Amino acid sequence: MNARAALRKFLPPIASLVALVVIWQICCVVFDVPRFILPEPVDIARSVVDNFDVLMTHAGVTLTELLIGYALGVGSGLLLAIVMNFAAPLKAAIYPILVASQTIPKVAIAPLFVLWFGTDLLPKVLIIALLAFFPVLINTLSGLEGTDRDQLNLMKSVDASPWYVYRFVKIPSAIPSLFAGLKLALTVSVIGAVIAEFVASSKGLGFLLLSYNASLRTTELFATLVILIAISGLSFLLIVAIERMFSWQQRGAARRGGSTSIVPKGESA
Amino acid sequence: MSVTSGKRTGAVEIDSTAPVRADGLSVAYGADTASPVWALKDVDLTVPSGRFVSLIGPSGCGKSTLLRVLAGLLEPTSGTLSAGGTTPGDLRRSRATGFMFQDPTLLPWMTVRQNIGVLARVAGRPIGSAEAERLAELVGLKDFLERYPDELSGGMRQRVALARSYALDPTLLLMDEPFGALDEITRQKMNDELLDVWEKKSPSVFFVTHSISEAVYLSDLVVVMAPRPGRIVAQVEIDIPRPRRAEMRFTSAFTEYVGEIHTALTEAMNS
Repeated sequence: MNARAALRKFLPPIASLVALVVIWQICCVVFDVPRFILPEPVDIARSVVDNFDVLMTHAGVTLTELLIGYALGVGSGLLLAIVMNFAAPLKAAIYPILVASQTIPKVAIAPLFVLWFGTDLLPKVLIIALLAFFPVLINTLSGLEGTDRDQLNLMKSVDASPWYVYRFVKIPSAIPSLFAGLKLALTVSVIGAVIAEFVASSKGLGFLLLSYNASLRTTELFATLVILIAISGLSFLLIVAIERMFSWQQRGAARRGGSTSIVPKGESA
Repeated sequence: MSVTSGKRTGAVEIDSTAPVRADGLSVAYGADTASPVWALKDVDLTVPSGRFVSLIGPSGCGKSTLLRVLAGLLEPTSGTLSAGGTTPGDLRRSRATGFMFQDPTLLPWMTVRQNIGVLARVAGRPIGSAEAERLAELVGLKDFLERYPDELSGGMRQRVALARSYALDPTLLLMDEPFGALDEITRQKMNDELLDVWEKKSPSVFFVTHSISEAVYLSDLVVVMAPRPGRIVAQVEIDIPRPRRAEMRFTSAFTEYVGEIHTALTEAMNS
């Protein structure tokens, strides 16, 4: 994407975001809103700067939980998707249970995890992993199962081993939906981290939110939210960037946008 | 009736000079029910190796079923079929069977170069980059080796599929209406290219088509089939010299063959 196209794409949302913040600021000043109800954006920004060290310390804790929990959830979701795609009887045996288990509000079992695993890193990591696991599993599995039948027949026509079938056909064709799952998993992971810290913790951004809330330090609470949003936003962009590198669909779309068709004239497309 | 799979036989001897031979070949869908549907019934056919055979007939005549049995993807209900001196299943497991579908079925995440080589690689006989280039040149795609399938036209994609089949160096090449989705001009061009490639190294080809003139133009033998039950109703040897040239389509001999097959097909439809 060239600079102008990027500008055309990103300028409108950025402009409306800026407008929103400006309106917010004006409203706070004009209507003289109490600071503990809704702080001014300018104050929030100042608070981010002033409390940067504290915010980063707690952000580090939350980020650690997120990284480990997300990796664990994504890894096990991926693995189980492949195993279930490979072994149909296993899928028949456990898939319905897994789907049914999704009706359990996982947030509700967070206190139980604290009871079992204490108040340290472990229960947070497990709750995040639990939340991240399912979207990755579902999306990867549907991607693997959505593999084009002709492509599978092609592999069968040369008696391809399962390894080659996965390597050349099934996994590449599952990549777009795998990334859809990764993005979904990231969003729920951040929720999981905050909830887990709400339940029992003495550090982390979730803990910070709760303690600022309790002492009506609303400006600092908003500053914490800003950091939290920055973390999920940046991680999301990171996944999008990785997807750009890996996904053949993204690659094709980017290329088609950039150059004209090379199909020679007179040749039917 | 089930799809053969699994065990590697490995030690099967492929005799690429052995004929393709069907004896009383029958395939029934729902063979264990009261009213099985005979996709193929008592098909007898002997074709010397290295011949270009077209299968033609109305839908439901079993031509695609015959191709799938030849591919070793479907077991016959009764009767036997041999190719390359062995069973189709063993031939497939020895990776000596090439299969081309109506859809080119390229892998969109691979370049033309990778697509050409992928089946050979899976078959355990990877081709070098020089060989990939030679094959691409053979089908006129030398300048497109690093392109992706979505950058190619329909005809170009089918050429990649052809090169991919040839990379396997197949004893038996099965083609299920490979040019059916192409326009007439591109199709005739593809026919000529197919013959060029085939004449350089002639595997036994079974080519399913709906076009009588395509069948006559390409083949040594045109097998006319009829439905309910699927069977062979005529075998027409095409005695037109090779290499075939586009203008041969307008000779009286060509027209007579087309007429003969047309008559056989009409009878098959009305039977």
